Amino acid sequence: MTVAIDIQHLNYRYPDAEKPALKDVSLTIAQGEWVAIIGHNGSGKSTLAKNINGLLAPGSGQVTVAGMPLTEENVWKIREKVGIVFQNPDNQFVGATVQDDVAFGLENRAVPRPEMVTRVHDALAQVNMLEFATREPARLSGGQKQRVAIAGIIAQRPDIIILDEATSMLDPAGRAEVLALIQELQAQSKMTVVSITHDVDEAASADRVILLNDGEVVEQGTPAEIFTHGEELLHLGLDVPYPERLKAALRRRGVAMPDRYLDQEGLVKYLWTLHSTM
Amino acid sequence: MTKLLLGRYLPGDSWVHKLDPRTKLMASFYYIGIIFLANNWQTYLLMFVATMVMVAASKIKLGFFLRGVRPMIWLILFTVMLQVFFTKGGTTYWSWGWLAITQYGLTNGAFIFMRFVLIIFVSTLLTLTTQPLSLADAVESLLKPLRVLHVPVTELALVLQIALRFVPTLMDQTTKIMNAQRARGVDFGTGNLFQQMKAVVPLLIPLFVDSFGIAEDLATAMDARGYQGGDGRTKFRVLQYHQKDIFAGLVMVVLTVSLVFMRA
Repeated sequence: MTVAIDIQHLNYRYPDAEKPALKDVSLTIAQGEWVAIIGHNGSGKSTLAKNINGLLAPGSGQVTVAGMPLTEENVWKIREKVGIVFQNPDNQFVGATVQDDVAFGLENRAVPRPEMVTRVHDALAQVNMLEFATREPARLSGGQKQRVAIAGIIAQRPDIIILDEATSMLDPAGRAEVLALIQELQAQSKMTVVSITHDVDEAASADRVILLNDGEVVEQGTPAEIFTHGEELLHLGLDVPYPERLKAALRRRGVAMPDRYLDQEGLVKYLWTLHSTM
Repeated sequence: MTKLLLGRYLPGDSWVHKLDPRTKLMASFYYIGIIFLANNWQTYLLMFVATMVMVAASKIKLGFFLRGVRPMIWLILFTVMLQVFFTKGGTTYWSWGWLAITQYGLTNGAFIFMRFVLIIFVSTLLTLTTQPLSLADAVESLLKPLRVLHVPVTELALVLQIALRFVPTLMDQTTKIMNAQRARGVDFGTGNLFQQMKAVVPLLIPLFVDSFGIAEDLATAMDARGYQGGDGRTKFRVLQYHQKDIFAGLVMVVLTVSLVFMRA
């Protein structure tokens, strides 16, 4: 087993923060493994991702990526090995068109232009976005933008891809689209995937699930193992759907709410009838 | 609203569209320069015909160019009036006190009018046939020599490119904030000027805060993708001169020579 990411006793505290964001985190991720990191908001998931490629400098402890310890000299080499897809599809789109955006990372690494052209083409073909090569981002859906972001990363041929809540701002169709793409890519290239997520489906596609709470690793195991821990553990890691949270909040304010599960549309319909009878 | 772009680029594949943006940029400025060489009927006629040929080569309807003149029409008419009333010489057709309409005044007025129209037509032609992004590329390429003077040309070009890229994103954001504020009872577009200006405040502040958030996200993403700034980068987008561009350059030379010989 080749180790892709090795983290030993990592601590991190944001400047001006009272509590540390990560407390003595140790974990090892093998090359080709798909690991999902779950935990509620503020559990330190994204902080962990940013510590892996040096976007944040570890407070103490040792981070080793692809055999290289994370130091100031190695940071750019490590970023070459680790691609991150961020949450907001719009705010990570640098290029003016799809192909310019895919080329951005290659331009930064001074890849010669002829090679850049073939790599951009291949990456766009892999994410099935070739026909959109000259489109502007404003004319793409959220799922398509995330696919472009993924293309931008695979064009750099990294060993590790981190999805930092990459599907959380997408509609269900876009989410499924991006997840299917990652599964396909992982099956083909045996890339290491670290997905930071709230989404049950995304966590379920992983080989291993790591649960973070208050900056500490609480539990890890296969998705099946984690999910059998029952409701409580799930609530600790995966976000309760928004309509359910709104329901609970309304109930606390004394509004009568039905017990059955409501999706967003169902809840809107319910609230609307509630108002019209008043 | 998302389709809005800076300028009024009309996609097309005409001869003018296919020219290198650097050629178009330089030729437009040069052409505007040589319009000032024209000083008699023959030279103005020559420039008028040349402009019309360029307009025809772009395959864009004349209406788009006339629309470019419209916002300037009062400025043009005012300048023409000044010329007509205050230029003395030749036959006097009408006079009243210190105002007079003379032969020279009328010709000068007509020349000034032509000059304005030609300049507007040419600059409209540039923006109608060139994507803002290509223009940014052209500016970068043409300013490259300034790197010797330590002007950060590549960085400025990236800034320009990102600014263009985020125009539609911020427009979207504006629409969202406007709707959110309308739902809270803010009234946009009614009331007197002062009330309208006040209504813009709850729009501008969230937009301002948002754009900082976007900038931070973008900077993180650029960092993660290995952006280290400076000149060590290669370019995906390259500009290349073709035969057309040489031809366009020759046309400019021929026009200049003809103007020099034909002017009074």
